[in-house]
Amino acid sequence: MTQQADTFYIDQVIAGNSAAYAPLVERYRHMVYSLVVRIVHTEAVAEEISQDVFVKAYQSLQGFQRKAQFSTWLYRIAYNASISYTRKHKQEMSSIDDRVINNYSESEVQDNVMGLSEEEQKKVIAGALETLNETDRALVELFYLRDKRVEEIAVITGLTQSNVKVKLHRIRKRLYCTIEKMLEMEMT
Amino acid sequence: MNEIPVYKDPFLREIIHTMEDKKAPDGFVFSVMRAVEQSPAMHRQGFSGEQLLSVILLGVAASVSILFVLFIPMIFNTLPEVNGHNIAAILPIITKVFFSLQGMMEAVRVPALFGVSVAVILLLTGIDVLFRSGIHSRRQSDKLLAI
Repeated sequence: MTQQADTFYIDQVIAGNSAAYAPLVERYRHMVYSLVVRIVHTEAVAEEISQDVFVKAYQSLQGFQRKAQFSTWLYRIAYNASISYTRKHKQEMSSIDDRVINNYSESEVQDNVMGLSEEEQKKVIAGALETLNETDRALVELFYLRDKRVEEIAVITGLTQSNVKVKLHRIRKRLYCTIEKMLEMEMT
Repeated sequence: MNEIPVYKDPFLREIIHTMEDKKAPDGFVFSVMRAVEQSPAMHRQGFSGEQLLSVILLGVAASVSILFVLFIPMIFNTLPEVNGHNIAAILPIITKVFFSLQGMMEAVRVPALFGVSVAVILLLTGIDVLFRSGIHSRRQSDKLLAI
């Protein structure tokens, strides 16, 4: 079946053909779910929020001004819904003290990680990501996993571009520090 | 040679990419489409003609009521040639409401004009708070969706 552009389906839905929304859900379901689950952690909750995101997007489709891509708009709704959920349910992650995040050598950490098996690497990076707060986890998902540009991340999250860059820099330092600590703990 | 900005890290990108992708569960599209079919109709932008007319009529009715409640006591107190019973004959229902309100005010020993003014101010403040909260959440939502 030929894949149509998002705008084709959007126009169809706005014209009253609600069934035309299904290909859009099909196209973006993993993308939305992945961001939501990264932020809220729980799969059942992520499924529910993702579903709400698509329903809200459907109901608000006429408000989509097409200044950005449909995927960016969806991401923006998903990000806000997930952050709202975590704030309501006060999910707090242990964060590393900013004062101690410079005590590591990047190249040393990199060498140590490369010395691990692929499974161990996955475990270490997953564990390190768990220690980030919800906004930082979202930034990792968007920047590192989805390869989104800083400009697009700023639109999705509502942060300024410079704030996104600062946060990414801090995330980078935090991840190295956490990975180093995890490796140290494994060795002892 | 181009220097890599401090917020970028090719090593982290590489190892983070090794992580498994999180995928939406089976039947997700079906669940969404079922929810979409059961959800209220798509939000239309702005007021429809009927909604706009209702808002205008409600606004006019509220303004007239407030002005009436505020100024009738002054008319009674300052214009002796206006007979309360004549007005009652013309507008029996409205004056009954007014007199019962005035009676209530007298019962609690509050001057009618002052009491009515306080009540109206409280009512308007309440309406204002409600409108502001509604407008605020609407603006937040519009801001979120306006891209």
